[in-house]
Amino acid sequence: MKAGLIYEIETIQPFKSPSYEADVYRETLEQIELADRLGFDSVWTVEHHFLGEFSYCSAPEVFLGCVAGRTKRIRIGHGVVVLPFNHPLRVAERIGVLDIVSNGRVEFGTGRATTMDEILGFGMTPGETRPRWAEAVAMIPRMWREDPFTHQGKYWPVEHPVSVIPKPVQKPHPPMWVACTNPVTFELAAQKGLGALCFTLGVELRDVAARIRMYRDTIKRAQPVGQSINNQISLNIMGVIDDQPKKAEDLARAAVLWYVRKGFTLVSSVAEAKSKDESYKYLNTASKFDPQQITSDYYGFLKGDDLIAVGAASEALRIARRYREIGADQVLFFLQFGAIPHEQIMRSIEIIGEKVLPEIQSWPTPGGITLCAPHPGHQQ
Amino acid sequence: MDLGLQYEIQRSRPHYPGFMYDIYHQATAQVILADQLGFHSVWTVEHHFLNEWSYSSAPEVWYGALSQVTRNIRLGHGVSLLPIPFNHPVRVAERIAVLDIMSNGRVECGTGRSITEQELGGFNINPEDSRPMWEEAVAQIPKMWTQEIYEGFEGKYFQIPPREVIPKPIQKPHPAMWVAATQPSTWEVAGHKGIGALGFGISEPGVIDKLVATYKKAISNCEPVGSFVNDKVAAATVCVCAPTREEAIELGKGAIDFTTRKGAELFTPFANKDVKGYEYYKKMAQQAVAIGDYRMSTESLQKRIDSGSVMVGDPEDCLKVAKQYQSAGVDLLMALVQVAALPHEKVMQTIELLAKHVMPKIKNGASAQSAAAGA
Repeated sequence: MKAGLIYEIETIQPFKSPSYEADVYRETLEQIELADRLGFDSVWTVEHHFLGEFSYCSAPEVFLGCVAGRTKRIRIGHGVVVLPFNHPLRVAERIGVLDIVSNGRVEFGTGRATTMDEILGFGMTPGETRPRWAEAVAMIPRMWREDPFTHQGKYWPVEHPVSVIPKPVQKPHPPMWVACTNPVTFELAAQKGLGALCFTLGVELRDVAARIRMYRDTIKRAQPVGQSINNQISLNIMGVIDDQPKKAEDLARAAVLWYVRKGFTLVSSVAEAKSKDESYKYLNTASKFDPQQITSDYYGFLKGDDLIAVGAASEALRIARRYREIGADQVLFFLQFGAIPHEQIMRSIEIIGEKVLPEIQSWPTPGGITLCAPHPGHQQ
Repeated sequence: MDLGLQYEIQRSRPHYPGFMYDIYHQATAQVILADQLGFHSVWTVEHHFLNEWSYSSAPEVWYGALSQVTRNIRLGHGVSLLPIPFNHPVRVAERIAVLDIMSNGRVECGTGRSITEQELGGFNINPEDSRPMWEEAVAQIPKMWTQEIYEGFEGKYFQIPPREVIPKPIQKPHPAMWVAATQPSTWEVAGHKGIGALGFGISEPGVIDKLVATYKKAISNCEPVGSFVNDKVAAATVCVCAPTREEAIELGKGAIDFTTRKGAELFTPFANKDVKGYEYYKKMAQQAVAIGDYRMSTESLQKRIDSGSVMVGDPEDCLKVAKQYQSAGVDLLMALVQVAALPHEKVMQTIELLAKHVMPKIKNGASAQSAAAGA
């Protein structure tokens, strides 16, 4: 099994210094350098806009370029590029350049946005994000195999033949993924031959397991958009790891609750606008929690149901094993959230890297990447 | 005058498998050397689809990597294309800010609108809209950086409700703004808006005096789009420097040939069209078509070196040309050193010779500081 890190690039009030934005960026890069040295497989960052405190990672294409310049081995993941907000030609170009400057270390995750702040901010409606994603996710791998490229489509027609350059160095192209929370997206991921980056915090493991089974079943009949089928499941493990479990627990409780409250508040904005769009209906599940009602009981639920890893190295290993049991190919540790201090995150990474990583990486996994011909339905 | 480098990330045919990878990694090594040798800045275009001419379609990504392997050299977008289908203005503001943070405040924000039909057509942009699109965006981006909650905008080409555009750049009040200026009217626009002029397509130093005068006149009475006036003029020119003039001519012939011919070819789609805002390119394209054959002979290049109209030659030749730009009032000379199919070692040689023989003789205290750092 593979193990990596995932980042929102988060820092919360009260800010420790006026340079809090630069501080969190510098700290994040330092954490990633440590993970690179310790042999973590990958690092992933989100793309979020306008979400102060929750995420300062509004231009991951720049930050991941920095990661490429600063690290040697660790794979570099977009978790994810929000396709409706970025012209697909530009996304294909950026992935090409990032793959070149990183010596072929790119993992290409895609998604569609889940907050109203972002969707309205870019002048869109909730109803158009999925069709925009679907159009773009089929266009981009075509840009890498068809030169000249043209496209007839609803959102991004490309009538003049163009040559999309430079091409990525990984052949046939970097692995492709999509952010998955609700069952419908798991199914779409499988149908299109995309890896599933699960953002399922708060979903009970038996439900996650059911979605994974459905994904594995569906992907057998995939109609891939690219030239490979990325049959892989990635699950996030939010956590604080320390040699003193009590210390980890004390730090984690408030930070987890802050993150969950903030996260639910942000996504429930779409759920409230849901009436217009069925595809975001799943967020009702989230919005039924009044964020103010998320109390210590909710922390207890996450902990008790093995949805977070708080404690010593053994706890990180136990949770990773649970995730393996339900079918994960990869786990991404999510360690920078709420007000967890930089030093603690470094400590968590160090402990995981030294005591947990070797065992996790020795486990065989069910999924993998296989080469294929793109499905004719995605040709023009 | 400061000395910088300008990159297209270029490679003329014939190509070989893996050349795109090579030119990126070679350009990176060149910039690392330039950083060590004290060059003021490196500037990189954003071009799309232009095989041979430019493989720099995502400079924001390359700059991320460069920011981590260099220390002092400033990183200039030369330029970011602002018409919205290329780049949403919010995305540009965000990227510049992240790069500014990651580079410890070394970013220069050059802007433009695109000048080729291939690019405008590929992104479905009506060429007549490109300048008004640029004008909307260039006035909003500084507000996104300086307003804690950006007030929002109801424009013709983009609308956005009030939003917290984050992170903020670390240079205060914000990174310096520039615009790519090729046609004379853009030099005037640059002055009016109080932003720096990045002169491209200047074939010889003699041409620039008038453009600088136009710019200076306009900027003396400007309405700045940013929080400060960036009264700066830069000029880009192809440069091949070698220990002897003979070697430079041998290398430079192909480089000047290619950049002249291919550059003209890029504008030819405008040769037979009347597109508002692109009249100048129509004229240039027609001239290019009329000339037809650009093959540069040793004699003709020799003649151009003698007249100081091209920055090719031994260090003395190159210094002479640089001084002409300096006396024309140029604050920053951007040398295009990686052109056509020049071998990497020869590009490194140009950078070393410029640093050793040209840079110390054109430096003056006044323009050595960046505008933003002093603001």
